[in-house]
Amino acid sequence: MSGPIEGDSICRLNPVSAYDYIQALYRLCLVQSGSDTAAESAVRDILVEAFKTTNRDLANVDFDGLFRAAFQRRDSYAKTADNQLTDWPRVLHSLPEPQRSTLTLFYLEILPLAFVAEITSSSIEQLADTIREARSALARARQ
Amino acid sequence: MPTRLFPLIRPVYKNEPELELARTEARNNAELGVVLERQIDFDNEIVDQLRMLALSDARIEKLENTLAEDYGQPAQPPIITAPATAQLPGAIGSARAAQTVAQPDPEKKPEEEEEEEQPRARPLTIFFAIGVGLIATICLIGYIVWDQMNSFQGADRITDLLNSANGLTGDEFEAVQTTTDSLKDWFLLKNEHFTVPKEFAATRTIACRVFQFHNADVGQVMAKDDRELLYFLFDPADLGVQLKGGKWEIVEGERLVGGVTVVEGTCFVVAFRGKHDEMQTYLAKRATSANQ
Repeated sequence: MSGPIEGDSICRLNPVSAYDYIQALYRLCLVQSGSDTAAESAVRDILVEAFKTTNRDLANVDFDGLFRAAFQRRDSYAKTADNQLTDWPRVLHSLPEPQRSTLTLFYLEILPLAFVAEITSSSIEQLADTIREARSALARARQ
Repeated sequence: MPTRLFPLIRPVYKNEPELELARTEARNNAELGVVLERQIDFDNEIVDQLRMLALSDARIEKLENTLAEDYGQPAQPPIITAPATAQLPGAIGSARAAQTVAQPDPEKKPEEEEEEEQPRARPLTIFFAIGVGLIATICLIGYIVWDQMNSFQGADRITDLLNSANGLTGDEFEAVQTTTDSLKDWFLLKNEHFTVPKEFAATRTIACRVFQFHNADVGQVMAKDDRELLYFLFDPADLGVQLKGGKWEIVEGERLVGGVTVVEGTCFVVAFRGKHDEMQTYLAKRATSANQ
């Protein structure tokens, strides 16, 4: 696994498979876009980019980096009138960025918090503040 | 201040060193512990619903194929088979997430199956299939119409009649050397009333007989002009033959080819060894010579 998270300073969660990463990436893109077609397309684009970078070798793909790419393109989705999400994912989608993507990354439970903080360009304390605010916004939106 | 990090506490992040102080604080403060418990319950519901969002195996396979087509087959095991085996060195994530995928919740199964895309034919393929079907149907209808136009009711019985002559030795006949026209009298003696087309009136006959064929009386005549001929004469109703008066039809048997017509209530068949075209030429020649 390559990428910026190989330092000892970052706590490692238990290993997961490439399959888990792809599913988690899809969830993030789906919450960001509100459309499964757009999410699938985004996952493909992000994977293609990652494959290009690693000379088409899945073993060398920076899977954590996929989420950074997804976070960076969070505002690139066209606003869709046909939101296919329901229940909590739909409420999650209704949050403004970057709250939406940050909270989703937190809920995906696939990346260490330090890496989520790095992706969102914040400290761990700022990340905690964002999560708290986003969680409150989520609860309010649900009411 | 460790309490600032409370919002980040989740069971899955229990080993995160940044949260150690916050966790200790929560353990030592009952009031904070209750708040934390409520927070975790709230988050669990959302996490569970998020996990329900998943690409079906079919869509992952499709994605994998797209990547393989565009960028070559990945060197590592396919993504779709990855959950149990392909854990990448250095990969990080939650054990819970791994378990979720490796041992999918049975309750999710029907939903995932619903999501699986059925293979669909392209519109072009569908149109092509419909086109081929239509063309085949039109050809079939055309063939049936053509077959009916080139046939008539009772043609099969005529074919049988022609084939019945294959085993004749000649001994079955009574020598009657006259002209075909004069055969009327001979047939009258046999109590049959057969009429011969005028174009065959002058043909020399060699032998005749009347025999039973499918319970019908059939007159059979051996004749000769420029070739050996065999005539059959019978009441068309007896053998279920329906043909317009004066019109000639050609029927092919195993050895003989027959020209069939109906004249004054008699079905007349002239036959010889040959093919359809030869009979066509023969009948045309006969018609010409009769008109002269």
